[in-house]
Amino acid sequence: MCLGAVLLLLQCPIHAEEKSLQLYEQKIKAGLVYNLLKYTAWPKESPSQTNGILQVCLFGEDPFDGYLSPLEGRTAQQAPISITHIKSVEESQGCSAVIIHRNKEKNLPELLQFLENKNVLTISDIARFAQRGGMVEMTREDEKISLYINKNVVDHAGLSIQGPMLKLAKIVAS
Amino acid sequence: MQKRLLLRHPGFLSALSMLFLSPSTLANVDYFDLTLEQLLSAEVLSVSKKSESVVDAPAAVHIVTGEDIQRSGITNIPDALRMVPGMQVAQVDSNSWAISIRGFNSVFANKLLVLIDGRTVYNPVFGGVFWEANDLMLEDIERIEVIRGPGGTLWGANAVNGVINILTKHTRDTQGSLASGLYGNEEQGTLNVRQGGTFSDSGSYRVYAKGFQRDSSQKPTGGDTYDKWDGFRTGFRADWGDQFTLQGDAYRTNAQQLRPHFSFVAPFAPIKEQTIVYEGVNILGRWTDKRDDGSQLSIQSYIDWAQRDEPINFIDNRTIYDVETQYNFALLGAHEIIAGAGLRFLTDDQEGDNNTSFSPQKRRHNIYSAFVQDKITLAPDTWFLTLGSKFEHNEFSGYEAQPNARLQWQPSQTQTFWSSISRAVRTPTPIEEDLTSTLVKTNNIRIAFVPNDEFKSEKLIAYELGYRNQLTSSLSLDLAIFYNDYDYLQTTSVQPFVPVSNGIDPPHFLVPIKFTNNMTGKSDGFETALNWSVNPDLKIAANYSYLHITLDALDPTQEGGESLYPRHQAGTKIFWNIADDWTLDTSVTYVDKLPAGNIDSYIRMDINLGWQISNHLRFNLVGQNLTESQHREMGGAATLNAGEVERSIFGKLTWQF
Repeated sequence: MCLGAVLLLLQCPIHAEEKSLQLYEQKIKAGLVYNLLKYTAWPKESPSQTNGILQVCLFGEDPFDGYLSPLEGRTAQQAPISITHIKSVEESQGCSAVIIHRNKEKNLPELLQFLENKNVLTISDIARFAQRGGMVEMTREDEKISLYINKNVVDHAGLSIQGPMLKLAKIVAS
Repeated sequence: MQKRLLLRHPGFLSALSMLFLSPSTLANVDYFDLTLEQLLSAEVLSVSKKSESVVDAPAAVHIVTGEDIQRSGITNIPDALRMVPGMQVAQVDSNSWAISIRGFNSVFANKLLVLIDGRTVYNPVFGGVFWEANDLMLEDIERIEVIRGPGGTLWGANAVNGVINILTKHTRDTQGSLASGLYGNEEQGTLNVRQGGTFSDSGSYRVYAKGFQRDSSQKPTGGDTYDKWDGFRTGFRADWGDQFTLQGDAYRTNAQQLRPHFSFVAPFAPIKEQTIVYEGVNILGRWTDKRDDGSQLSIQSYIDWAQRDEPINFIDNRTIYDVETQYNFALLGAHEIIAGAGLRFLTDDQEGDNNTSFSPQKRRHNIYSAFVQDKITLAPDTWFLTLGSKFEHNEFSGYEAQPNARLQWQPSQTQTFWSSISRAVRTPTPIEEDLTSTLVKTNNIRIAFVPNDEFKSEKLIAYELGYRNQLTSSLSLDLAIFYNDYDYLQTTSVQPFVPVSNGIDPPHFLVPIKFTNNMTGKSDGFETALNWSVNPDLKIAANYSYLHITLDALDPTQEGGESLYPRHQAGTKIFWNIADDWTLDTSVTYVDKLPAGNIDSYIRMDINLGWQISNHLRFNLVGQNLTESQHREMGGAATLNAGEVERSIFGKLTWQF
């Protein structure tokens, strides 16, 4: 199946056995965010419930290299998903979920303090994010992505992450 | 599902995103349809941002990221291009470079299209780039996309052997303050300052200023060359979300040079020192409208004033007014269609002297262009055919069509084979059609270039094959093979002597030399690159390229280009995070000899040791050209301005908060 000219220069890879699914890290994380939006329940008075829009906010650069963007326009729990960039901690108030880029690590204590008791899901791949008072941490471990959820913080914020998600994630305490 | 471009820069700003990165080719697996179990059990394909962007592109693409630039410790754009496989970068002296891809290199190399944020920066007088006048604050560069070979872009003649597309960061990524300064034996002081901020709901901006001073290079015979270089530039960029961008720069650069001042009286060609002054101001606006159906409309316009004042030659003062528009149609079945059009008005005044003149001296030049391209999905996710053509009308060669066809096969998510056939032209310039320029004067003879209104476009048919493979989760390979068939290549032809008695000069014979098109050429070669992310703290890249050119001219003495390029080039770079706060980055490049230029092969080694002193403060110690105290990269030892590049050591302090 390989093109002749190229075959001479390179060994043509042969996939004898079925390999496990391989995906770019950013795609896996984007997929996980979509699942989180599906499996999280926001209280009735939260902005997402009142406007009927799931507002996903990116704080700092886009950690998904654009792979999250196609989520815009999809729905989760019947609410359309909208993605926006926020530049200040205060802007996170109107978000359903905030995704914090590593380059905003220095703003983390301020952000988490600001969001305390507010109905905003926090997601990041910053190291020890969940132990440090964040809600959902996506961490690369060897060749897989693992989820760490700080259930105390989630409960405290009046959110609820549902069964299947909690079963597959690792639960940590701050 | 809504279609989005992968790259952050929308529309025609990115040559790559236009052509290659349609999301349908990315989503071999719709990761949003995967279950939680599947996602958490999926194996991570770990590739750097850049190879992700290029993994599907059916062209010989290489990306130099902002991180590459910062980590390699380079201080100018030409040195950033040394990292690109197959790129020929030769520093001629302290302030000038010869840069080309796939041969035909000289300071007047004219077969590349070079863009900064969508603005064409090649000089319309000779169709090449004065690299010394096109500087940026390097911290602002998001990435440099390099496409080797023609047809990799939808825009412009001149993209014969490739496109260099320099993109600066979105202002949301340059918030806060940054100041950096560097000083060393060759780098005699550079200071960068930048301030970013926000306005209204979605607006962000930055302003910057940069000043620098560089020491002269060494003469091959010893002593300093007369080629010091300094410059100052300032500018801004403002973004209203991803919809609208307004940006502008103003600069002034001084470059020292030696030049003979021709005269009919002895000593006929005394060598004079001159300082070439480049000044310019440009402003650009770009508006992009993404529709929910996946279609996208972009409009970009800029005004670019630039003046190059070379005292013992001519003053070129030109203004370009440019407007371009591009429309990406919503997916129509298997067809992804992009179409666009552009208008460019150029006013130019080239004021010479009794040795150099342009006829006409003042010129208005209009260029109209259009393109259309259809990417056809032959088999979903695996086979794609892209057909397209650019059309241009310019006032030297009239209508030019530059079609290309590309076939792409992706047998798996990690592999891409591609092939292409393209036609490209390098259109005539005022150098060939308008210029009279003295080469030799004695008391009764003047040898000079004279205009040739009949000069034709240089033409190329290029055949390319490529292969890209993400071999393992951490190892990727890129290979491109090409065969180029050139026609109507530039030559010079001596014309019959003409007696001149004009009442101003002493009576003499003019020996006119015209630029003509009496050469054909063929080139073949390949470029290969390997990227290995050993672990998150260690990245290794290696490349090798081979080039072979044969020329066939009416006058065989003009086939010198056959041995004026490095046949073999190789390079490797290692980015290593030694410890939490320490980085050690090394790059080594090998460039083969240039037999006709009497240039030896050389190995260049750069080392950058970085120390993050605190969250806000970083120190870098950089050594460049460490293997030799000095070496020559271009120009014979007897060439007037030949300079040898010296070993350079400098320290850099960056303060960011």
